[in-house]
Amino acid sequence: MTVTTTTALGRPTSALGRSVNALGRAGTWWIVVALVVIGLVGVSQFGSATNLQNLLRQGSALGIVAIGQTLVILTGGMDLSVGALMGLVAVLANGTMAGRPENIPAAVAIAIVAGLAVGLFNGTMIVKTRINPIILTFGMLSVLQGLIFVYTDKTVGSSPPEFQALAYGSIAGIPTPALLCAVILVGAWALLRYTGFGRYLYAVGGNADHARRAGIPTGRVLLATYVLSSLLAAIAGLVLAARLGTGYTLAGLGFEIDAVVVVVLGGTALTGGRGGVIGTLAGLLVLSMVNNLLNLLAVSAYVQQVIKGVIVVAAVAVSGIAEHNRRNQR
Amino acid sequence: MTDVPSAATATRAGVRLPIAPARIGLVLAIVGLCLVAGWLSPGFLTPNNLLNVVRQASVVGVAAIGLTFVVLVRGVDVSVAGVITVVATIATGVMNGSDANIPLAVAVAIVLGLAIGTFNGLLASRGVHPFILTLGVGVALLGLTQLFTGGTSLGNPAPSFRSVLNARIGPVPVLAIVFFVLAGIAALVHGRTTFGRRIVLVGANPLAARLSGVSVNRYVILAYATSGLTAALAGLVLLARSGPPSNFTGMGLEFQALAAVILGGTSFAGGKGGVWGSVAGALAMALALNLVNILGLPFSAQQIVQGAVIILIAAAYAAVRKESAGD
Amino acid sequence: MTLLASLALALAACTSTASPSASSPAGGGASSAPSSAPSAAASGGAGGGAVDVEKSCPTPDAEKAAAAVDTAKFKTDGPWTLGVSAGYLSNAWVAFNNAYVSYGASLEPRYTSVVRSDAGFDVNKQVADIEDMITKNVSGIIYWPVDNGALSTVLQKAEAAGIPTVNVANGFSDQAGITANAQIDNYINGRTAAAKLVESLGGKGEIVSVLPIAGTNSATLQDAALKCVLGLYPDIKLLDTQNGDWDTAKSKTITEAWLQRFPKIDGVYSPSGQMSLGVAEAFDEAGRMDEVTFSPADEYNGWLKWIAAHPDKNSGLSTFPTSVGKTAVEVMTGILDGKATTKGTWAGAEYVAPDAAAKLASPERPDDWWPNDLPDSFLPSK
Repeated sequence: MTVTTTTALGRPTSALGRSVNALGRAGTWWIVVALVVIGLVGVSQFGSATNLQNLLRQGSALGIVAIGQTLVILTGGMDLSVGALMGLVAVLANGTMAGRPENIPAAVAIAIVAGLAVGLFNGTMIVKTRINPIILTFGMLSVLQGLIFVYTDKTVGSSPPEFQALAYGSIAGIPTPALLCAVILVGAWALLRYTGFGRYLYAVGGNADHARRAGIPTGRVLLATYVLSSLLAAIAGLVLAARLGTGYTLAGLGFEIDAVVVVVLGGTALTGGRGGVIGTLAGLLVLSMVNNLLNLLAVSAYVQQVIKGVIVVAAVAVSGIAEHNRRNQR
Repeated sequence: MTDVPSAATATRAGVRLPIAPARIGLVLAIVGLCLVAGWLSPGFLTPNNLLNVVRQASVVGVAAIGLTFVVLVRGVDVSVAGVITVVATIATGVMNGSDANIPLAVAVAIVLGLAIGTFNGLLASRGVHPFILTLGVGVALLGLTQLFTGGTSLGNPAPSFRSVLNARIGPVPVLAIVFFVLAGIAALVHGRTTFGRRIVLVGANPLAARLSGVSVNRYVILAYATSGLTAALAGLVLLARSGPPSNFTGMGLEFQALAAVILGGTSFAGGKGGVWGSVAGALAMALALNLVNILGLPFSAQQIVQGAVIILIAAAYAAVRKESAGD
Repeated sequence: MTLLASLALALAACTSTASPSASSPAGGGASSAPSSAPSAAASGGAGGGAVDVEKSCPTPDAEKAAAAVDTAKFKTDGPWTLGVSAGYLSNAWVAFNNAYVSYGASLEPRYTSVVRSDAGFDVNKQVADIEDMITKNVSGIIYWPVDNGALSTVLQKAEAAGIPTVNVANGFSDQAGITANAQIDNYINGRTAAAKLVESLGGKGEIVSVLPIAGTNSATLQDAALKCVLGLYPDIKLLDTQNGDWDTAKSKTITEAWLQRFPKIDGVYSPSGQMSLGVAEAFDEAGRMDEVTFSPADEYNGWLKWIAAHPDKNSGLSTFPTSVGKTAVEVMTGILDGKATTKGTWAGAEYVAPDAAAKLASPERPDDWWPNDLPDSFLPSK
């Protein structure tokens, strides 16, 4: 395959190979820019204030949960239980509120508790038994989805308008959920960049054995990471609850995979130790804009699914091959 | 997730371990499940029912056979559900209600499976992360299926295809025989051929493999091709057992197959594990679900039990492995 | 807590007092409590028999469906753009329903374009799809939901923007945001199936029940109808209820488990033909076909072929026609013309006797097919 023919030093010799490398390094932001240009120029209504606001609202819940997923993936793991947890929170919150604003604090409290409990369980199991995170969180996905059905077998509860403001309100023209997502993003970025915890996280992801030998408390770092992931999923679940206005049992289905896709599109490596939340933001923008543009262009639904699969494969192929080349250069 | 091979692993590479204590644990778990179920429900321990459970496990089980090879080389393949759906749908179309088309349909299925698997393998061997790669491929395949069929299936399967494959010889379902024969072939390939030994080596210690002249890339590609092949065969099994699938039928199969492989003792660390383990894993899960059905538990209980079984058994393995590895 | 709610619903159904749904306020579509009166389409003696099932188990929402809709505010001249938001397109029934919507739109020249979306059973995507249609300023939105309750907020937005919404084939709902409905009465289908089944069994025996995806309007209403009819026949015992999810393979697996648990099953309540097919196969493979009677189901081609081949197991049909998609377009046209429109327009749920049922089968077509009068260019498959 000419793409990866390399010189003795491991640098790609072909133009294609060099382009792949460049693309991988520059990251997904190029695609974000391209999509914005295509949208503004080629698709009417894309640039309208309403559409842009819709876009931000549509992507907020996914953005919040994807930030948490970024942390987990940075450690070399994956959290497949977040979608079901979001669904559980959406159902519990709406069921608790039952349309009454005075129940909002209780609903939020239940969501936080659920997030903490699941995160502690996940983290403890992974640290103490060394069970593979994909398998553990996949098992939890089943358990949580089952718990939803224990609680109710049909759509339940409702959100009072005060709570729905979380999804549909605006502050200074910017949709509230997007602001929430932005705040969390900045917080996560600062955590990764400026705190010891952030440095430990990257170290554990890069090489857990070395990290341990260097004295880093890898067990506690992993535990904290999974707790953060579940907490953020719980918050995303509250946003979801507000957006839907009612507790639909299958509401969370698929968020876990979408979150992983967004993180990977953003350039964070699934093997751990490289990447960050700014990349995740790029991945989120790409996915949201692709969905929005395809809808505005009235592309057939079946074709949309194929396109999305192709984008995911292409994006990860480009970044994976670029990474491969980079490794070969060392 | 991916461990750097240490010196200790390098010396163990290629040596056939005796049955690991963890594997015995799984067998005991299966026997235990059967006993509990038999006590709770008189109809459970009849040969008819037990063999039916084997047949129910056959779709996931056949897919898990090839998937084992992928996990052995430290990869993962979650495109399995997409392959099963696409193959079952296209095979139905090719058969178009006529027995004469069966050989062609089977050939098309096999070629499709190998092609998709090879595609996955080519990219995976070039450093593309297999989880997202195969996920995207699976999603694209499901979309393509819907595109072709417009939501309905393309035709009717050949009458003999279903009536022969879905029949029983005495009390034994033909599909159970097919399942075990495929598993047997794969186990032989794994344990007794050069191909099998090299797959194990590539997974356990890719550095040593390269140094001894084995092309890591080639065997990774072959492993994924094998997984594509068995996924296609699983699609044919599905078609035989329950007719042409809807898009929902395949949902979740890729994770069930992965769970079967992991439960069977094959680990992502590479090199360890085997086909019979995956078979046992698939059987264990089918047994657990059958038990839940028989007890008449509601849908929610089934999901919880499935999740709990996966977590418990996988955690047990991981704990045992941790102790024996002396970390 | 929801078990009590379901029990309450079932009881309410049998006492035929109009009471609004007490349990799930926003989930109007999924759990409307039955209220009153006859349904126009329930011809053909749904229920017949000594016990007057029709009177004791009245279809819910008939009164609400007859209410008038204020269409003046939606009146607009053509040309019109029709928005079609599919909750999912992944089974044969919705594929044909979708084709009928397209066909219906083609018959009315004022629809100059159709904008389609498919949410792939993802409710979040459907909310986004409808938001995007509002952005595109469609004239009206016909949709079938992943879940009606979850769409209420965005549908209200559509109406506020002057875009009427028509809920098709998911049962009736008067929840805020839905301008009108074109629906098939799952309750009547269920009631007919239950009544015919217990009649065939002579009022005595043990049955099992196969329902669609848990939580859907179909599942809820079919279950309620069964429970109401069973309340009238105390000698019939319901052994178990499971969800076959409109999937033949899953229905087969469920039945295999039942066959192990229960040494004798006299009857199967399954108003959906796609599921009945899986159930029947399981009985057949177990060699226990002789002991069981099937309820009437719908006109899924796989089931039609099966009952044509097994006349002694043919109990007729209670229809679930895919042409309701065309009805939805007609309702939408009426609204856009500002004409008098009722909140709900019924279609289907008609009893078809066994002989006529067998004749409906199309043997050369796949199982995944529905009887239709669509022109070739609109048929879903290639």
